[in-house]
Amino acid sequence: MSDRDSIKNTFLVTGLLCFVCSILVSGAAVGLKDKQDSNKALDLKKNILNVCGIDYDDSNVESIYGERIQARLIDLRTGETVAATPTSQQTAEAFMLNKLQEDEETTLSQDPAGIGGTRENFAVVYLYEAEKQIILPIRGKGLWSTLWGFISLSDGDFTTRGITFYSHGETPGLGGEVDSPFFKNQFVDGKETLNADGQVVLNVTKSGAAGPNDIDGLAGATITTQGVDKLIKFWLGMDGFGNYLQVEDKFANASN
Amino acid sequence: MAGSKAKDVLLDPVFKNNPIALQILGICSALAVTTKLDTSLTMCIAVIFVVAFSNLAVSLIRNYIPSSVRIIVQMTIIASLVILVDQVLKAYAFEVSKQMSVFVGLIITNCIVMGRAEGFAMKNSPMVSFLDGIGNGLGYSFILLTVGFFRELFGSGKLFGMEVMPESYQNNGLMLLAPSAFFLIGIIIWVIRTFRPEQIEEA
Repeated sequence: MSDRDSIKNTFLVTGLLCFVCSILVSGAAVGLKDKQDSNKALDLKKNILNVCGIDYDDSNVESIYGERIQARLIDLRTGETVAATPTSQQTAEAFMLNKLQEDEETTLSQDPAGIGGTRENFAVVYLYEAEKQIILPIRGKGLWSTLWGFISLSDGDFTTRGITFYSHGETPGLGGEVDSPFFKNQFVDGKETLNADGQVVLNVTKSGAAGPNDIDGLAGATITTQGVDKLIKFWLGMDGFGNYLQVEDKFANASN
Repeated sequence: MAGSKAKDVLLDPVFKNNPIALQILGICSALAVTTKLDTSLTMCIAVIFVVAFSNLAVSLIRNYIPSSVRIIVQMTIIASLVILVDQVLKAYAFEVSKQMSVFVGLIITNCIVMGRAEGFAMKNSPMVSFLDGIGNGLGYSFILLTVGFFRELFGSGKLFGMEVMPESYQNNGLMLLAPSAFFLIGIIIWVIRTFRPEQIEEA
């Protein structure tokens, strides 16, 4: 028994333990990956339905989504629609974005949203034709993490219709409140986002929502609030979806 | 003799030696996940699983663990089990795991798990340690579910997401905030100590 404290035994026990634990952990991660990925894909669809304000329940997510939502691949440099969805698969994977993205990036002169200095040239946007809503993917840095979400705008006057964040690692109870109804509901009743010159005028402020284009930020989460403000300004601005928003007739089918 | 000891280690932690009410351990997660019963229940199952199997694993190799690195060895076992639970929740209970966010991962730092591994499993045989883990998990669950029951009932007027309060009931927002869990745990400790005066500490 006394040699259990020897250096040799210490290395042996810890080594074996690490080996067993790593097999256990990686086995679980690999074995459950498919199931987790399909959960994530379903969650994305639910988020798109949420941001459009469409009611659904767990059993009919796929069918409602398939009926009402279309996806378009757009070129962020010109705003042109490159491809429409095959009706069978209405998700980003259908466009094989991974392949496209490899060299297709634009280096940004400024990166207020903190997305890593470059922006992909192609993006997938979602359209809800019945209500003339454009759903744009947005992302940007908060305090601890990158926030991933969608913002929904009315086609024409570009007032907000909804916002959602489906993935973030902000502090629960503080910055994490970006996905609380209190915060998100402020976007539902049509805040103005762009002025006549195409400048982004929507503000997420700390000092309360005073004007028609102000969103009341989160108490106790200054950096997250600023992050949301910057990422909205970035993605609706000319470095983001600005070109696309100026294009007429977004609901037509793609040119090729 | 062995039979009564097994029963004792299993049931004692529920009332007599409750990890939250008497030892005041694991308070953090008791505040965080108890706004709803379904997150509370998921947390309870996760903690019972982790504490039972970490106790079992630590106890099985207790005679081989070098004392200089024993805490790290215990942490490795606990962390692996917690990651396992987290992965399973993400695969089979995605909505709940999203609501619980970081708190599943934080089971690693739950003092109950570490405390039982170091304080009990290092000295006892695997079977008894396993039961002790389940017992302490049940003691934790008892508090969590009680707190979760009252917070969801008075905070949202619901139980397991179903409306139970009459429509005229005005939801009490305080119950959804963390301090209400402190009040409730305080009341539970008071009630337990009224019936078991031997738990009252000397002033």
